Amino acid sequence: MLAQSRQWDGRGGRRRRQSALARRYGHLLFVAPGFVFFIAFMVLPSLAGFAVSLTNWTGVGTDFSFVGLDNFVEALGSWPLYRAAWHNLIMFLAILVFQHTVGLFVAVQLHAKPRFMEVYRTILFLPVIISLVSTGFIWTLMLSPNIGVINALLKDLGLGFLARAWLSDPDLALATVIGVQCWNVLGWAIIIYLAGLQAIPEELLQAAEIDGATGWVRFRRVVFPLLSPSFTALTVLTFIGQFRVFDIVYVLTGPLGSPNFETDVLATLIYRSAFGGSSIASNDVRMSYAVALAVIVFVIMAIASTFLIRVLRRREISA
Amino acid sequence: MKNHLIGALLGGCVLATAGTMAAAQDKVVLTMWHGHPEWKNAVEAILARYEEQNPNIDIQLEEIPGQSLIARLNTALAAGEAPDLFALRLGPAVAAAGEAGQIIDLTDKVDISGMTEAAQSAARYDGKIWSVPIFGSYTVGLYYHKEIFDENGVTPPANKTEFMEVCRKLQDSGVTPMIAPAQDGVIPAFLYMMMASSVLGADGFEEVRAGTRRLDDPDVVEAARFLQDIYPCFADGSLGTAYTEGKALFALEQGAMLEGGSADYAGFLQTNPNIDVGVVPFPAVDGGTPATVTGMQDTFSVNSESEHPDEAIAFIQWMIQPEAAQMVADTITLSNTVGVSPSDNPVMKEMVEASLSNDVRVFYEFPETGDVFAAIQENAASLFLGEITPEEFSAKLQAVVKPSGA
Amino acid sequence: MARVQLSGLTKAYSGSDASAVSDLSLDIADGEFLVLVGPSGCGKSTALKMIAGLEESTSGEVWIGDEMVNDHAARDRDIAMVFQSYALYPHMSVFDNIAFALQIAKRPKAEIRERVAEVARILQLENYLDRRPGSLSGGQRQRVAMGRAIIRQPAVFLMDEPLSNLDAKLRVQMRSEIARIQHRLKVTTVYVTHDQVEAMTMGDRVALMRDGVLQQVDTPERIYNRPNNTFVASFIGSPSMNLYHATLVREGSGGRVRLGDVELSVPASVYESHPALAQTNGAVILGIRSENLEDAVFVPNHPEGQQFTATVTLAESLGSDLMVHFRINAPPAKIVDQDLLDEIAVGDDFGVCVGRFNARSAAKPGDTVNIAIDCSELHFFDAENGRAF
Repeated sequence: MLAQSRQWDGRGGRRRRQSALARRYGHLLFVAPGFVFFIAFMVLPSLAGFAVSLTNWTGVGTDFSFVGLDNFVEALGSWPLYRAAWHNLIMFLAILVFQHTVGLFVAVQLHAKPRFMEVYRTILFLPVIISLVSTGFIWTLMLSPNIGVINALLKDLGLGFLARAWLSDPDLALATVIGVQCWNVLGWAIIIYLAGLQAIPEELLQAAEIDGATGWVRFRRVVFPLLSPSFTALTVLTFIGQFRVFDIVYVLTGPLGSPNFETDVLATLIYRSAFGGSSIASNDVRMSYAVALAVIVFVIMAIASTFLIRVLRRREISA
Repeated sequence: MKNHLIGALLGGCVLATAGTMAAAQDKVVLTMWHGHPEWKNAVEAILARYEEQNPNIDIQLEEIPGQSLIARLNTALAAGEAPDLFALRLGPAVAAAGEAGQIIDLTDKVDISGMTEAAQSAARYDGKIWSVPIFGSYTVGLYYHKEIFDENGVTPPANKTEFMEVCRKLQDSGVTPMIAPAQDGVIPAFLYMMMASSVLGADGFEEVRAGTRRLDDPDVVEAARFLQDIYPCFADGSLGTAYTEGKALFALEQGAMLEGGSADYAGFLQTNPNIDVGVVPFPAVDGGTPATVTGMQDTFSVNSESEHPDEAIAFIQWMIQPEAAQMVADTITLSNTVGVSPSDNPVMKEMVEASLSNDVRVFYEFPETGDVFAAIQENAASLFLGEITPEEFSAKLQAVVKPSGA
Repeated sequence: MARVQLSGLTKAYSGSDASAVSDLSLDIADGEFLVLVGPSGCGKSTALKMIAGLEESTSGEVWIGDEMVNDHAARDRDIAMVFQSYALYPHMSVFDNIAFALQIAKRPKAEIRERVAEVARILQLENYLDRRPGSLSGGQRQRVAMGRAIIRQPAVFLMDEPLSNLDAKLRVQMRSEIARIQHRLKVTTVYVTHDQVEAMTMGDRVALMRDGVLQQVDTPERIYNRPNNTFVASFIGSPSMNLYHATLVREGSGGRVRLGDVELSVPASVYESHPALAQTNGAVILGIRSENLEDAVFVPNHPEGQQFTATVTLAESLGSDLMVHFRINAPPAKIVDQDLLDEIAVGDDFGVCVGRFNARSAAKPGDTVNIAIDCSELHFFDAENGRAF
């Protein structure tokens, strides 16, 4: 220790001698501001939330009677939780497949630098920038069977038989919500994959070319494996994004995940439990139960994301 | 070091006192949160009148759309940062806030004797007054476009058989019989309440609350069957249509009928100034009496942490006096103040008329039937889609009734 | 195995007046090791990529063996390339990296295994076949890159600065290793580098390029001893050839050259080996290699006209030699090239001159030393265009 500090002094000339404490823990000072915010706005509320989930608090008043794990037991035994989680899962898988196919395909096309690439890229990325609420609102208008432009357009094109009550047909609603989301997230997939593609050294592709690999073989054996960081990032982001999706579903199909809960997801279920299904009357609102649901989702998500990242990272290369 | 600190503290105190004094000489500011942006102009006109008469009061109104208001209010209450005046949902929510000491007990502070019986009963909860419905009440019936009815040679139906006949005729001539935005289940809930009320009547409803009658009694199940049977009369995509969109569709004559309340009419006029509608009680289950249902609009409470409780209470008292009540009746909805009726609004008069024969209070304002509303919201779609029978539907509703007799 | 011919090869980019490569013609014999050398941006890599088929040429022809391959894709040219970055597939094991081309060509598994084993043995990679490139050292990666080229048994090896990412010591080692492998396999090789030492030590012939134009193609000895112009002269050799503006006057069978305030006699032998000099009278550029300068102490009987005195500014000992810098009162001939930092003018009228003295020389900064110059080894270039006489 002493020798070390002498070395420091020697190098720095006439500098003040640092205490051993400062040298060992000084770096924490730089982390502290962010850490304080993290504690104040993430950790403490989460702990408080967990505490609330052990009570019977309705959201109003000061009745915080301790009920133990009753809320959790009830939540885990309730069918709507599994129904909502199932819908989240379907959305996740569908959008995942979409991003890794269509998104990747479009990214590859853009990577080839077609004319007007900047224009295409801007157009494709635009939905990402528009707020989900406006996106959802615009789509509800377009999809409306009464005033919507989509059915009108189909009829004008002589495809009237394809016109549907997109958001209210129980067999179609979830697919429609997924469709809108696909439109919305395509930009992300493209940007992430494009970044991945641009990170592949030109020489590697030339080497593959000289080795005789072209087209599909080159893509499958060289390009795609090198995109694994993008694949991981996109998969994990999609997983997290789709299991907490709320705004777009709420705007498109309301707090009840209409029709008949066909589009009900975990977040709308939690929201409904916390604040009620409508502004008119909801006497069965229970904040503590909603928080318990949220805690369950949080724990499962944390475990699942960790697992997912582990598995996907293993695919990646360490170069 | 210490001296500096004391100096700073003293300085702070002086400044704070000076600030308070300046405010006292200035106006008393009351903050108020309200969940109906669509009434903004009407509410602001009423507040302006009050401020004109009470120059020392400045009421700052913030309009927050319904659902967000609830979320924000809950948070603000928990944090002790709620406004001076706000409306909680009538029923258990108000009582919980009262018992928690978050709102002021108005029992001896506000005189509500000039209000209708329904309003008085709604304001009292276990004998105490926690909140007052200062923005009147709403009565819900069946709106219909007179012109569309005339063109198709039909008259407003009075019972299920007639309704189905009207529905068939309208459909035959390519008209959508009914707009029913069922996305959030609110419209189906009101439909059911009116249908059930046509069987139960006000007395029968009291029996349901008492536990001597049940929603799954065979004659009341007919109300659920009626609800299921009229689904084909709804506009396309009703299950996915939002409440506001539905109202606009009706105002734009995209359908002949809409279940609607007295508070909706002003909105129709805004969307379509030439609208020509009539309103009748909702058709009865065959053999029953056509019914309307009535509920209280926002019932306002005073924050117990308000710095100006007396001024806030005075405002509430003023709101139920005839002058303000008349403004509410003329620009927003029906009044809760006895003797006040809309001065020049034939549709509102028709609504008042409609409510004379068989008007029942909305179920959700009572602790016994409070959860029925949510149960309808949750199960109406499966009833429409035929996934459950009217019997099963009714049983689910009855399951959440907590009879007071039990 | 094949002869490679380039004729009139030109690469021009749209939006740029200067060609990256202009009118490059080379004839590389079967089995020859040709080094393409030049400062960065001289077009050597572009030329290599045109041979590889990774860049399209604007005009000119590339022949490999008996075929004009301009229209052949890179994979059809029967070439193998070693990249500066090695371009190893980071997600594949060393085995798969080496075997990749054979796997793509769907060779039988047994054959692939056998050939990879053979290559791994040549390159001493046997113990690393299961590793990923990320866990290898720079030298090992370089060997894998070589392995990937070797296993193809191509007609031509193309190497694009394969050693420039290695540290100095490893570079020297790999230099000889590559030369050894090439010698053993006898595959025609085009090797691009900016390092003149690599060029001199590895190549059967060296092709020196500047600004897209070929300056000289010759054996290392000839390019060193008989540079075509001042650029070649200054680029090849370390330290660079000392170049100054001087005046040459014919005198009898020999001549005299005035270098600032120094006058040196030019022996008749120089005129004999450079007949073109005979027509010259006046301004020239004089080139002196550092090994032709010596502390006069060690050259006792050196002719009078081949000596001068100068003040030492810097003396660097290399152990075997002493590199002595001294001022010469003559304007240096500037070769515009940012890469050659040793060509620094002291002032318009002064130049630094470097001599390679005997290690035992006592010269030290500040000393005025008597310097012997081997005037039979002087180089003369046209003062106008820098061409050698």
